[in-house]
Amino acid sequence: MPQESEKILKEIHERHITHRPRWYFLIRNASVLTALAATIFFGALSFSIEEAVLERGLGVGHAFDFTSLMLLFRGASILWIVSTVIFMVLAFLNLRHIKEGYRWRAWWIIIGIIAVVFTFGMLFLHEGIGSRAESALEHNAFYRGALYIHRVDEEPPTAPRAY
Amino acid sequence: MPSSGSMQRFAYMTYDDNALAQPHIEDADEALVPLALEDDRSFAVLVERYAAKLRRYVMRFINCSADDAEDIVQTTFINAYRNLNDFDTGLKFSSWIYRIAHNEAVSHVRRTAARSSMPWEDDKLEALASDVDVETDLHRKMDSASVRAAVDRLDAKYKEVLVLRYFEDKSYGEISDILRKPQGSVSSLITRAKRLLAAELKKAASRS
Repeated sequence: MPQESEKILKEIHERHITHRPRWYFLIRNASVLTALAATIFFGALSFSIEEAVLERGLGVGHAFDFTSLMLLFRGASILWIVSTVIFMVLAFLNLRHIKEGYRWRAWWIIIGIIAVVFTFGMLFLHEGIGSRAESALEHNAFYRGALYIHRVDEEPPTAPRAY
Repeated sequence: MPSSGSMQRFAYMTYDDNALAQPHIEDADEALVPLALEDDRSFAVLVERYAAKLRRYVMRFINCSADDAEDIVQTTFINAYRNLNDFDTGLKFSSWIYRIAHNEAVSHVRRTAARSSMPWEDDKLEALASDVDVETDLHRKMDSASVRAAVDRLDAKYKEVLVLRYFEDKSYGEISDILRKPQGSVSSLITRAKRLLAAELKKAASRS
């Protein structure tokens, strides 16, 4: 056996190095895909909750004027916008780590993630999942106490309140 | 009917049931990988095929000494041996092993700052210089040491694509697989690298 390979194989055997089993890589790849699916799911859920919060805050039939749009950056709404963005960033990082992920340009991945999160988010909203999740969170004292949203036709409260 | 992969394997096997089949030196790399999981001799063939190439590539890429390149290549093959089950049959084996070597070289740079004097082939330096300098014959007035110095002054992300393209003769697809970057990004990097190299060559020529 030629010298180069002999040296390397000797080192391998002295250090008792073995091949990592196939299942190790299957589990690793499955974990990345599961993480990707989870980040997209939670991103879509955050988006649907945010839409539900906006609908409650703005009320049905209100015009989208500047004051109304400022509600986007108040209270519970901002939490869910930030949450959606965080999950989309995590989805992007996960996609980069899947086997073929490096072959796609970053812009295409970002556009794809936004499209998927938006689509599933609207689906969750349509099915009422967003508003049911938000209602369930209202029972949490921290969520209720720390965040608030007010309707456009009411005076803003002076302190956080439940709604 | 056996698949073409298994036909490739059976083609070289002997009919002596008592002896292990010898890996045939003409077998494609990708055909040797599953055999290397069971027989170290197949892995040895892969080592002999790539050791020298990887050593040259590492020395050009990070300007390290021959000893450091030797260590990096040894670590590369050990990691390859350990992770052989992760080899993606959709990739070329050379792209996969170059990727491991590239990552090991980058890790080495983070740990040390060794310098060396690996000679670069004059004809390849000439080919690179003429490719970036199509408007003038400026590169003909410069010696290969100046061209090499100009390449060395580039950022690592530009140098690595130039080395892989012009010195390792890798295609854009292979470079994409080695560096785990989209092919479009590789193309942009090479274009920008050539532009920057042309500017470096002009600066060097005006100084001399």
